[in-house]
Amino acid sequence: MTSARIEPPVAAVAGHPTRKSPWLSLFADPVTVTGLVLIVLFCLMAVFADLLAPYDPLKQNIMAMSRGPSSVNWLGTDRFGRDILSRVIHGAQPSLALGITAPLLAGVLGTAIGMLAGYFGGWIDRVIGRLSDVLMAFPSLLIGIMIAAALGPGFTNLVVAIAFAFLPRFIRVARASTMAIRAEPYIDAAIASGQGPIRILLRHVLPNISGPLVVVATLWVATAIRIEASLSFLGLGTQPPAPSWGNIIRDGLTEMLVTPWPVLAAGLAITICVLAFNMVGDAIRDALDPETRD
Amino acid sequence: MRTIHRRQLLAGAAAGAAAAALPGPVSAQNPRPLRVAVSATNMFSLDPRRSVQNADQFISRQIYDSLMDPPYGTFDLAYDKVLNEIAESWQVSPDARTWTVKLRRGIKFHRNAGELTAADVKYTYDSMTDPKSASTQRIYLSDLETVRIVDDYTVEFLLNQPNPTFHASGLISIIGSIIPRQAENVPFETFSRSPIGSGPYEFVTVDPNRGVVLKAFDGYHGARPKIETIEFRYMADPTARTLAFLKGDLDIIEGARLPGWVDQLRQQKPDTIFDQTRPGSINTLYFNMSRKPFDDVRVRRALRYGIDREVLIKAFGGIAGPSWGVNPPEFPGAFTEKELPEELRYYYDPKKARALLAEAGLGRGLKFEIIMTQREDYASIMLMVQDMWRSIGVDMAIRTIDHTTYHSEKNKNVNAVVLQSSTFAPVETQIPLAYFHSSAVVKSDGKGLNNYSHYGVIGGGGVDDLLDKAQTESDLQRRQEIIRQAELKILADMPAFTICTLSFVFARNPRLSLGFDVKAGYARYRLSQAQFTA
Amino acid sequence: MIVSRILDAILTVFLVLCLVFVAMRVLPGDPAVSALGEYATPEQLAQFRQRFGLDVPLWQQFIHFFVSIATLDLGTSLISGQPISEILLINLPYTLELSFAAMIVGMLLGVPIGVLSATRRGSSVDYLARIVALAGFCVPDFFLGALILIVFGLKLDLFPVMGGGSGLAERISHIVLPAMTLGLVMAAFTSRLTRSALLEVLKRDYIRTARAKGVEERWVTYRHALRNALIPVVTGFGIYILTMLSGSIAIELIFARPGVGSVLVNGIASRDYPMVQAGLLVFALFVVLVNFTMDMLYVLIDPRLRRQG
Repeated sequence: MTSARIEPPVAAVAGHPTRKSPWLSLFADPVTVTGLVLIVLFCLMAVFADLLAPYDPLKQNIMAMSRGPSSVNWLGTDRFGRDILSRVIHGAQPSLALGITAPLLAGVLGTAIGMLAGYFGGWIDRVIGRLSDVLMAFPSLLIGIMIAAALGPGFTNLVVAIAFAFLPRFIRVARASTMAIRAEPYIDAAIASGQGPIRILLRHVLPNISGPLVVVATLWVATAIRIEASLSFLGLGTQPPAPSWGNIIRDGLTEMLVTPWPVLAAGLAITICVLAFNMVGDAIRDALDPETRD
Repeated sequence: MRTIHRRQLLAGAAAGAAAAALPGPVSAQNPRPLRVAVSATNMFSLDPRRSVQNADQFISRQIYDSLMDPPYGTFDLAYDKVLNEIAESWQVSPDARTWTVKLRRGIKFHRNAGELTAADVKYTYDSMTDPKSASTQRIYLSDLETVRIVDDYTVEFLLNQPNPTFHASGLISIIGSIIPRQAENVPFETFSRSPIGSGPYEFVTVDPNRGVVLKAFDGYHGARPKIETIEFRYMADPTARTLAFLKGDLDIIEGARLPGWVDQLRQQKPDTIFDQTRPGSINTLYFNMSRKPFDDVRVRRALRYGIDREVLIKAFGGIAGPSWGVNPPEFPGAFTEKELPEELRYYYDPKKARALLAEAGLGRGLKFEIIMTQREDYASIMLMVQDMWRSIGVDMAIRTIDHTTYHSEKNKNVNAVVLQSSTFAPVETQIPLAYFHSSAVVKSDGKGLNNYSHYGVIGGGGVDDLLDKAQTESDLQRRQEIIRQAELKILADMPAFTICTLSFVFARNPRLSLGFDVKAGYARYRLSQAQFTA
Repeated sequence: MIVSRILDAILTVFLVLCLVFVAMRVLPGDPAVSALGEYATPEQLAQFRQRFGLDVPLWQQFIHFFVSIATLDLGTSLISGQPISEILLINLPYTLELSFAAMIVGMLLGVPIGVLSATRRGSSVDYLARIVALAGFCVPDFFLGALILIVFGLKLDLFPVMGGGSGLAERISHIVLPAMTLGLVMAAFTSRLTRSALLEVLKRDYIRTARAKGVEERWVTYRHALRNALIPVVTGFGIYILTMLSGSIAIELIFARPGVGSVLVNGIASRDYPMVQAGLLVFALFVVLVNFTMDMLYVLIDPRLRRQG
């Protein structure tokens, strides 16, 4: 009776994708469109950070330390005289890169593991199911802190930490969906026709379970961005001098009373970015899985 | 009653905690405790023999009297200036190998642990120099052969080589803090958490909110402190300390050694008093000569020319200072700017830096990665260095790790460029010996010492000899001359250089007076004369 | 059913312990160096490792680790030598009282907002409530904490900003701002959850029947709907309590509060294995305990599940 353990409602999605082009309905809702526009803007900001940022985010200017907003530095400067606006713009890079790669990595690994477990069953399935249940019980931030503390800071370690935290969620969805599909007659037909398990998994199972997995992935992008910010804030994430929203806030706190702009700007950037991904994630969930819509 | 056992020590701590919770008549006299916040996550050890962090030493300074100490607020080690605490008088033999210290009579240890005598002094030093002891101070007492009890109130320190400044390394606080002999029955860890000294304040308790609580010691042999209770809080986060200070919750905070911190706090609270030590810590930047291209003196000089020290010092807003030679200008016998030949002053010159790099075949630039601690002072300096080097075509990537990992990694010879911050007593031989002598060379297995450049092992011929000669010289004046010769050679070879000195800075409630001005010293001072003014 | 749950919980604890052990042993940095300082000699370091059993093969350390935890001997801090159980006993109450206070704030704010939002679905109140809830869901807790600290603690100077306080009155005044921070985040979760759960229930047949019978609307909402809606709210609460607990680590840092989070973060910073192990262990036990309680509550509230077993 594991369903009693609540997590994002999506776990209940066991593959009822409506075939009536759910994606189109996404563009009907103004909230979703706003979210999409914001996401596109953030992505553009990250990709073209070098062009958009008025200054080099690392360039120090000791003659203009901790200044408030001015016509030269629109959001002011930090204690090394670095331009805050440029740092916030560049800060989108680690957040988005991580927000996308961590769920992706977790998705690929989790799907593979979950599919194998769900398809073959047996004791491997029980062990994997048990393990992912255990890990599921942990808030992903806590697992992120544990792993990041063990591996040390750095982008790759961060991706590994967050992907590991997300892994069980993907395993669980992939496993449940695969088990449902495994019972379908066409799988038996495929086995009878002599197709190998890998082929069956790739050709028949994967396409049919991808819907719910995409939903899980989009929902966890926002969480990944939040966790990156938290870890960077705790000093376990992106390391200076490279800017990230989390470490801009961490550094900004020490001069909050002199100039609150670094904290405010980076804090708002995280909030809006997470908001945008949540709005779109919710909409995708609703579109792919009308049953959970309220 | 002169025997204390482990259980009694523990019971003492518990009783102290209980007593602190009860409102007693004593606290009515002066109800306001003095609140100090130190920069550390938690208490490691209040046993001075096993001390690893400044924060604990600040507290230990109040609990223990030392044999002697420089006049409060200074680092003046002149024989006629040094202040006696436990010592009544002392003298040095002409060959500077025997130091005789006479003890004051009637000094009492806290918690009825008896009178302080020569046996306690001998025990304290023996427990530090015993190779099997867990003391972290043994390295500073390498020249101490033995401590001899002459009578109950006289001890002799016999050295294995002349040392006219033995008091600087061995007799002043924190090493000169005397511990009761009975402590030999308890492990350092227990004593660390329930310390007994003979200082103006005695230990009461440690808890996560009030931190370490001390109360004035009734049996103190000197003037009774004016403030009854002191609370030392451990707050590693500079923001938390600053905010609490601004709110008036704290009377003294250890400052953040970050660019602009002093000015920003002054802006928020203009009447704040800043106590700062000069020179404070010595921040040395080493080039690892066992790595290419740092084996090339042109590259090292180029990197030196690429650093604009003026800007760096300005950024720290008055807490940083220059050092022209190896020893900072505040040290006896140190070089001033004008005394140095022009080419050894290394004024900021990016053009020359680029030219030297090109000459060394690095015209297209230089790229390398280093590891660096997160601690604010190290990280700030290195971020500024990184930015300056970027403009001479040197791309230094920084991988940040936590402070303890940095120390263990750095000691394994993994870094191409190493930053080290340490505080030294103003004795001319200390920095050269610790940083530039071949015997202090760093080793990959972590068993080496602080010569991260490999100077003397790689290059630097003749400097070892000069340093050895200085060490056996018992005349202070001649010592300084020899050290200056060594300094000139070091500056020319540029294996490492003092990038800046950085004061320890404390912000103080303007209504609190210390009884003296803080000008120099380690990152601690005495609070026994402190009082609140109206 | 209860037996299998308990077995589950034990298994979870075991697996978590394995994870903690592995995580701690890959940590870079040397605990001996951080305990003895950078000038410690090699012999001193070796002696230290021997004393704390860090020089034996990993599998022996592993067994030792389990034996000591099974016997409830959490060891002593490598750095300060203080018994860890003592450190935890001192710090645990601060984390518990913060979580409890935040939970109260979250419930008191979240449930009414959720009910209001669901019963007036589509109204401007609903819209506003949803936006606020969504924002609360998206604002990082440490950012919110920083804002609250500056505005209420410093600018308005209403509450203390630092530490946990000692004595009842002081402790309460110290908890206000951190509890407000975590409580607001919690309220955002709760109101969202309440709203959707209530809407779900209101759609159901028996509510329609009740309405058709002419039962007063408000009565329907509170008596029938809310009670049923409570099931997912209560069970969903579990994961949010845990989310909040992990959020408390950053909040303890901002408000310089004692607590298990501080123990953990400080332990990580000083490479104090036993401290980090103990910190993680406490969080893991929290997780297991909360999940177990939620499962039990679920069964209590929804009698239908008792039969399913």
